[in-house]
Amino acid sequence: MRLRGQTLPLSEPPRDAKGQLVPHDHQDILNDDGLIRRIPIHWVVPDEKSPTGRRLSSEAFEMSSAEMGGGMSLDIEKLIVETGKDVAAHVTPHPWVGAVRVTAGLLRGYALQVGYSPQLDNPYHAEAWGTLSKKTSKKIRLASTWVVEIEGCSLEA
Amino acid sequence: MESCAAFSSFDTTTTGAAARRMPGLERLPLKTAFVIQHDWTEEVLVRLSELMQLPVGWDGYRAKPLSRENAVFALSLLSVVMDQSKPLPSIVPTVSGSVRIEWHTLRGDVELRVNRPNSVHAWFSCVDEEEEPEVDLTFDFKIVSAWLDEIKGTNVAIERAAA
Repeated sequence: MRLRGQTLPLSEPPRDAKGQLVPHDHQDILNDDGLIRRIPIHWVVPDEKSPTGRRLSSEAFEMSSAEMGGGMSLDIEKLIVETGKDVAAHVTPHPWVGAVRVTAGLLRGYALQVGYSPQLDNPYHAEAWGTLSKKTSKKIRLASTWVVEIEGCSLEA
Repeated sequence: MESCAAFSSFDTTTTGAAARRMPGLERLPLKTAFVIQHDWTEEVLVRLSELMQLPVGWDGYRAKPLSRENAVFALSLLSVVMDQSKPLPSIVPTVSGSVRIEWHTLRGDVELRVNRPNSVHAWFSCVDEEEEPEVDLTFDFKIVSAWLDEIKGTNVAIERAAA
């Protein structure tokens, strides 16, 4: 499968008649696969309950608006590893300062679809779609682990 | 709307000085929105100004900078729910060009996701209560003010400011 001449590491995701990606659950993304969420500095907030005084904003695990596609951007860890690239370096170029990992199975457990959404500059890109309540978003944050830790920022609280 | 006197005072002092230090702030049509008269306002104005100046794609993908209409609405909302006794909020940009407004204290959390003017998703969590209500709000934010009263009291920022 190819994206503008680029060989894709997973099978082509479904698209509509205009070529736009359709929300889907991709069979090649397995439940145990790690998915990485990149974090810009804007999503670190103070929290008195946090052991470090700072934590990730809920915005780190939030769907975009419908006009922006309605999904949540992720990177598929195994695809980056397979190419021999440094995972941490791949997911934290400017403007990202940190990154966290969840599994596809965790997201699917909250009734989210996990699809393949290759970009021209990132063939490892995935997206999650669905409805996230605040409570669910919090559970995902608490279940996530650091890939690139932001100093002084906790995933707890 | 509060009194004209309060508005005039802010407009000729705080706004003018703040606007000179913060390029882009003058684009906020404050005069048409509401009255600003508390200490928290300058910090909020600075933050909103910063977020309005974010580049397109600030999240590394396609994120938009904070739109003026969402900034004005957020400021309007805060002018209703805030007073000197309330904890200072964190203002976080969303990829869609709006903001999430968050308060996190030892006693609990309040989060408001401004989707667009008059469309706000609000969430509340308090250490004393098992329920974590989530509601969609339009223009009545009394419940948010009440939530903030429940979680205030131990905010470090307020204590520091008072010291």
